[in-house]
Amino acid sequence: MRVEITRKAYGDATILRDFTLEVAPRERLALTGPSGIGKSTLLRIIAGLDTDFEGQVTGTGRIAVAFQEPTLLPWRSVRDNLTIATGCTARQADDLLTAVELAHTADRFPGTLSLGQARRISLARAFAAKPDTLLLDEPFASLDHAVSARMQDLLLTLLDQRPARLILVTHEPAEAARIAQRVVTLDNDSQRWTSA
Amino acid sequence: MPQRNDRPGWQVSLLSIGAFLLLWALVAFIAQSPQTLPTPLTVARLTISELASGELLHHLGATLLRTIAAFIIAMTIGAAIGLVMGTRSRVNAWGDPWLIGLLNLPALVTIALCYIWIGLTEVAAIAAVAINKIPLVATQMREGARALDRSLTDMAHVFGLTGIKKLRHVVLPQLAPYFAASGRTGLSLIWKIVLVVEFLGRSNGVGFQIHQYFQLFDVGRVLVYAISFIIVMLLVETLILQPWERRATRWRRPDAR
Repeated sequence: MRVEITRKAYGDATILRDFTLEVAPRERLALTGPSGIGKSTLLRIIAGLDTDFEGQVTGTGRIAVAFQEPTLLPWRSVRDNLTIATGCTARQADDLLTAVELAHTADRFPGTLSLGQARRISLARAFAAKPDTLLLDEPFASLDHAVSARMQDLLLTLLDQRPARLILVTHEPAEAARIAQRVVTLDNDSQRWTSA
Repeated sequence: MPQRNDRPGWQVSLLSIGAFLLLWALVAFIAQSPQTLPTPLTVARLTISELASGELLHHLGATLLRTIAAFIIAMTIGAAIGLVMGTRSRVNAWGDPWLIGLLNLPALVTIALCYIWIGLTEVAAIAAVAINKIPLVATQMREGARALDRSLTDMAHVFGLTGIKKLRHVVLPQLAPYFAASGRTGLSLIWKIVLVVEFLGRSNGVGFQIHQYFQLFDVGRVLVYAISFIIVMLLVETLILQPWERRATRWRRPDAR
């Protein structure tokens, strides 16, 4: 997958410029940097949600995203959230719900779940899409330490079982170090990205 | 701890209706003018007589069919227009003056024009009613479309949900409260306009019968037809609209599973 952004701006404010990123299949990459620097913007560009930029994104294959907010359909059951969004079978959905340890919530509405549970459902939905590229936007933010650590374990297990190219946006260097093989950090002064 | 249900039950509604009938009977008794205001008992007797002759059901059926047809047409077209206007600012800019114009067009003008342009036909009658209601539905659905959750739209895009699937699972459930509000106000408005349409240019229906008995100054039968159709509409509300609304919004309840 190759991302080339000549310029991305909101009005007069340039967010990204002369930026290139290549991520190999099955590579696990973390994007870090301070808030407002353009990490989520980059993720939206890769996901195809933001097309107002100069440059191009190629070779992503099938994309799935786990957003910072779980963005589940509150009027559909947990199982239906997986089958409707990804087209997977009910059996496959149940398998993934078992994998994220939430099989017992399959018939419940998302509104009855905690934030941590909803994030795990969102993660299960992303894997249900059998993605070539998996984009995660701060999936562990606002979770307490134990829940966050458990969810990171689940992510690593799922990635072992269902390999995909991973791009993880996070503020936490520890999360990035644990999950990613490569960490890319935005340099605040130059507005260019550097690999570490 | 089990929660107490403090909502008044059907018994209160029944008592309220009983109080209304009592008040009506009292006023009729004081007025002592059966031609101007018959008692509830007289109206009940007339209702049984109209039922027995088959007239009441025939005319109620005709009005109900027109109401349902106009309702479905107005809700479908109005929702489509509102959805497009609420999500596309350019269409909204072009369509808004039309919508304001149509909202302020008196029902009587639409009815007269439809009868003149299309003729005294069933199509003209239903079209006139639907045209009156479409701008109201469109306005309400436009508000609903403006309130659509952007993050869910993004999710649908990423996972490739398009067309009917997106409409069914992502868009329409968000519009359900607007559909319910629009449906409820729509039904009450539509049947009143249907009566005017029948009054002016049909040979059956509740409006036609009211026209007949108005000319004969038969207040009793005017009340028979008016009250009967109010009861039909209450049944539609209780047996169709409310159960649908409960089902569409059951995920909002704290005990939802």
